[in-house]
Amino acid sequence: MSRVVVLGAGIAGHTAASYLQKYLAKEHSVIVISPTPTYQWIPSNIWVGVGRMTPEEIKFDLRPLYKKWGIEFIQAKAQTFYPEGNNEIQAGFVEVEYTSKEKLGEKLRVPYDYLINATGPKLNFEATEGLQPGNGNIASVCTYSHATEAWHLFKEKLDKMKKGEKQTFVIGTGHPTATCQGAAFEYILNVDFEIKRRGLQDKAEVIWITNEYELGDFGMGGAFIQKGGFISNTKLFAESYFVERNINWIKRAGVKKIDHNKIYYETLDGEYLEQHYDFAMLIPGFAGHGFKAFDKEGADITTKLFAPNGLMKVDADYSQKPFENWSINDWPETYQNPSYQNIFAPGIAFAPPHSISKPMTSKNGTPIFASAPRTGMPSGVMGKVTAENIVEWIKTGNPVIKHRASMGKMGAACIVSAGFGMSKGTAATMTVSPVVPDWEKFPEWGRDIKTTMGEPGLAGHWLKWLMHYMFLYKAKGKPFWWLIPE
Amino acid sequence: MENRLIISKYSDQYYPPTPTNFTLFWRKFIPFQLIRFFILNYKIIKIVVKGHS
Repeated sequence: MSRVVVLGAGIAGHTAASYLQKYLAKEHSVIVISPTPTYQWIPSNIWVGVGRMTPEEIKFDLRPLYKKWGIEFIQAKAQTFYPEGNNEIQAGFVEVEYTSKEKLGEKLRVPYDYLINATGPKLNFEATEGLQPGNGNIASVCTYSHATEAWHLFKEKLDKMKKGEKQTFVIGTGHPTATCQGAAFEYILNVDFEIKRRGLQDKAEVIWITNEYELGDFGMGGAFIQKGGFISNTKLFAESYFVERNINWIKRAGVKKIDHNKIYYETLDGEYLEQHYDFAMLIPGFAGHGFKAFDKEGADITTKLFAPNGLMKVDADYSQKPFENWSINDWPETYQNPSYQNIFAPGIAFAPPHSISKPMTSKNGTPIFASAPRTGMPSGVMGKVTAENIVEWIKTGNPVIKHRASMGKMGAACIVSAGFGMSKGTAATMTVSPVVPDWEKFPEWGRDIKTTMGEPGLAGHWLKWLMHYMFLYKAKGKPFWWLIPE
Repeated sequence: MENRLIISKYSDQYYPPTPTNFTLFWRKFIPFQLIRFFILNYKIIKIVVKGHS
């Protein structure tokens, strides 16, 4: 009998747990540990943040599902890893702290044979002074509760505009090396859509602020797409979207500090500037959760398991190389920790070998560039292949790692919502293949130009809407859920 | 396009392409978008299938 422990119940963790219970015989146990018992479909937070969906529509309680599936659920957060065990427990274990009301603060040691660390990122709001959501006019859409607060704040501003007050909306990245530009891009387009739907555009100024070198970088170095008889960069695509909507932008900006109505930022040129705002939604930097790790003798081995940013080391090439020498081979394929092969880290929990976008530094030495994104689809695929590899290992008794999912080989689809509505809504359907450009295989464009695309239109909204229901159906384990791809 | 503001010349906002009313029409024209919906679905599924090994 094997014990598989999954830390985290987000897209990667829940996907892994779903396939583990499906493929493993009942004699094996699957344990999921997560600080909240809720699964949320994060891509739809955007719609919660503009009042088009309620939090209840994008989340559900995992406990009844896990009970039905025979998965043990522990409401707790991981703290310390003991991959070799210690003098009391022979097997590897993880020390967790309960977050449920009944046992709040109590500690528990959970032994495992296989460990999946799918704890995602720590939303590092503290890294930018004043960025904390709920702090005055600052909002976030990183979680459903943040998105709910964002909607309440946005509604306040809409009411002010209805009374004739002008308002400035600033949306984008809130840290010089933040990622997830795509989510902020969707939010600004939806905010703009909702303002215009109410006929309040004369009272609003909407501004995009970003650490991208050029718009459309999205943390993946931008992409080339073939459309209208041209092959053009996503820079044009993003800029055209903004110009069409009269949205202004500030690029190459590293946000350093925010007070009640001003955003202070540094540019790549080394200038220190400020921007007034009445409503700001800025994506924070991501970091690891600050986990600690100890060996059997109690020596600190945190650096063996985790990179300096706190994310877990996996089968990536972490050697320091100049940008020109980066390759898709630097990117992990199995998400297996090199020191402890029974530990895996799919999703945002793994430490990327480097960014995808070119690192840039301001004249004052501040790094200002987009970190590597890992969106829902790659996270789901990573969760699935991790589960498949563990299942095969358990079934054969050999550490067979057959299933691979490198971001340098897999493609990703991203539907960028730009307004909600079955006849008036719009979204840009974007696909990139692969996620990390492969300049050796595709020397001209970095990606397969036939499958990399960006297309705005109503159909994109239908797709995004369909995906919302389809992926929640899958996550809820409804009949034939496993037929729906990640 | 009709709502486009006067943009200060030589600013970043001065240069990008702006969709014409014809382009905007096709982006919202339901019969055309229905066809695009199925085509886009097909393209996404191709990407998804390639991503699993």
